[in-house]
Amino acid sequence: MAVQILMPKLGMSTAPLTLVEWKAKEGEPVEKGNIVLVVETEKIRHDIEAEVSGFLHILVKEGQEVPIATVVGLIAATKEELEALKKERPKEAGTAAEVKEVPPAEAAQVEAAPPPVAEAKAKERILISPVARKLAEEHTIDITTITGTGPGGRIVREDIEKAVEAKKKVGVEKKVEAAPEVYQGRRVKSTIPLKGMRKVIAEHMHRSLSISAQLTVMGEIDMTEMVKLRQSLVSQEEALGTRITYTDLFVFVAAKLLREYPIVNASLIDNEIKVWESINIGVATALEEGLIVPVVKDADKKSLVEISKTVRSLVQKAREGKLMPDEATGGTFTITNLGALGGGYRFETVIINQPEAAILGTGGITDRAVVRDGQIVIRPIMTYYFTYDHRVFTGAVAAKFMASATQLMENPGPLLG
Amino acid sequence: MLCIVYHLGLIAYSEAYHLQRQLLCQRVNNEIEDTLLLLEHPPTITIGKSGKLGNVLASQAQLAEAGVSLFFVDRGGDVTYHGPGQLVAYPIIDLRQRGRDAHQYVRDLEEVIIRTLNDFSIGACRDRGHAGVWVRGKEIAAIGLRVSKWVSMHGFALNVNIDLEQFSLINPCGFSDRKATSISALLSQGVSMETATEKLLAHFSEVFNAQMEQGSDILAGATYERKVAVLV
Repeated sequence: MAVQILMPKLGMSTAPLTLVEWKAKEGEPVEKGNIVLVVETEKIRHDIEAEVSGFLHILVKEGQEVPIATVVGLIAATKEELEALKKERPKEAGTAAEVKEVPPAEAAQVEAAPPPVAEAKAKERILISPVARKLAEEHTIDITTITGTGPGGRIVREDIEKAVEAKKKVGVEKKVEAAPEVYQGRRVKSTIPLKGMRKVIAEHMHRSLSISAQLTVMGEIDMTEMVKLRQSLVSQEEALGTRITYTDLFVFVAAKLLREYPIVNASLIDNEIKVWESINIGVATALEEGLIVPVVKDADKKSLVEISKTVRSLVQKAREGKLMPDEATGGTFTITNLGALGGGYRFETVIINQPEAAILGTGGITDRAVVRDGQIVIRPIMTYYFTYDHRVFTGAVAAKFMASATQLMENPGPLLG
Repeated sequence: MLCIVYHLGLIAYSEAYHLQRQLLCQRVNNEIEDTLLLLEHPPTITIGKSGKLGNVLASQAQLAEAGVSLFFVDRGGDVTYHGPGQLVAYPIIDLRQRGRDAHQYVRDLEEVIIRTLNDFSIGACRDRGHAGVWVRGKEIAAIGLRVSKWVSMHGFALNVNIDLEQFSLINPCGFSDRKATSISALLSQGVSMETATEKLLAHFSEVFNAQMEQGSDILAGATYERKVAVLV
């Protein structure tokens, strides 16, 4: 039994609709759920889906104004049924009495006053073939960028096809207006829009600098004992179940120190300094597209091994883009180990991760000549950069904090006790 | 019902169109809420399926020189002009949840515009035979829609302080004897896009009984990046 395609009711109105376009030709197969017909009324183009799969038999041609509930087509289940229908209800007939033939020119203004005569005779200053027009619409091509190669500069199908090919070659449609070749005396190499993660980082960093009074204390730590400690821990990797890194050690050390210097583990929020009970240490992690700071919660309550496993898992998730929101929020202090980036002996400023009050950056460990007991010796030296917010605590506190950190790392006995 | 609003700023027609197509698919599959895109286009002429090229009064060369783009588009309606100073709204609304009444939807959009104009003491009205909003015979807002699987796209364009001279490039909506007007023109004073947008949003919320929420950075890439916006 062939299924009828009816002119639909689009709402409360009972006015007739214009049958604008059949999406398949007479006899062609259609699939259930695909758009089979487009109708139009008062500025609305409405797509109609095929209710079943089958072969299309068209009863009413395009361009006609049709009342609601008129049968405009049929979907035959089989080819045989299609043939039978063709014989019995030829395309031209339809429900002839009710269907009015309306020339396409007036189709859009069916319910309006008859269009002024001048409009019907309007001269077309842009020439384009119907096929080219359809293609241009399908591919959203700006016609003013096309040079027509047909008679009189008429745009023909080939012109659009060429433009579509060119668009494909350019790749993903450009989201950025073409950069000017020269900008205030400089030639532009490329333009990267500030979007997504890059934009977020930019805003965060700028805001951090503009709302707080940031200063950076810089210095060096003799890592002789820390190197020994780490080496022995690494040799116990199997027993511990994890390979301890310097970052793990820094988190462990920082957690201990923050207990002694609670003011460093604080935030200035709405004119109040909140001194945090939780010690949640963020570990800055570089990603291909930027940077993210997963947080080790309650670092002071975790053993070194637990910290190590947590950091590993968080960094892994960050690199795979699988961090949960609560895994990168709620930090009270941040560590950024820049040593992994190489570059030898150097110092840099680091920016506080709002709304925290301080951040500790560490550099690589390099052999340097230092003086011990009047002698020049070679020791593994690590640089550090401790940026703090002077609105929360003073330089004296910062100096004492880092003195304690240096002391603890140069004499790590208490760490293991 | 929730409706997420995105302010896209000045965006090319093609880019906005592709974004709409994407959002429409997502709305059909219920992956997102009702969405409202608010934006402006650079000088652009669009012609609906039933639009006639004869209603474009400039030649291709003239348009290219003037920096005006021209697109054939899959919405209802004839020819229309877009440009900076015109508030373009593309609501991607699921009409399945609003009684599948496309006609009422058009009436509702007109209502939003009429109420907004009222805030500026401009008395506007509908034209029973012709969707859009008119003030004393001049068109102040054009409407053109497409409904696919009962989700809407395209929408309307309200002239706030747009350069009306540009409308001489076309016969708006196919009428050679009807002119366009704008809020600024009617009030003989500049009106900002921000003011008009603010009022429009309030009335949109009223008429559509929707709770409007600000969306962010919809033009950015992966969902992961969006998550990061919350985290860092």
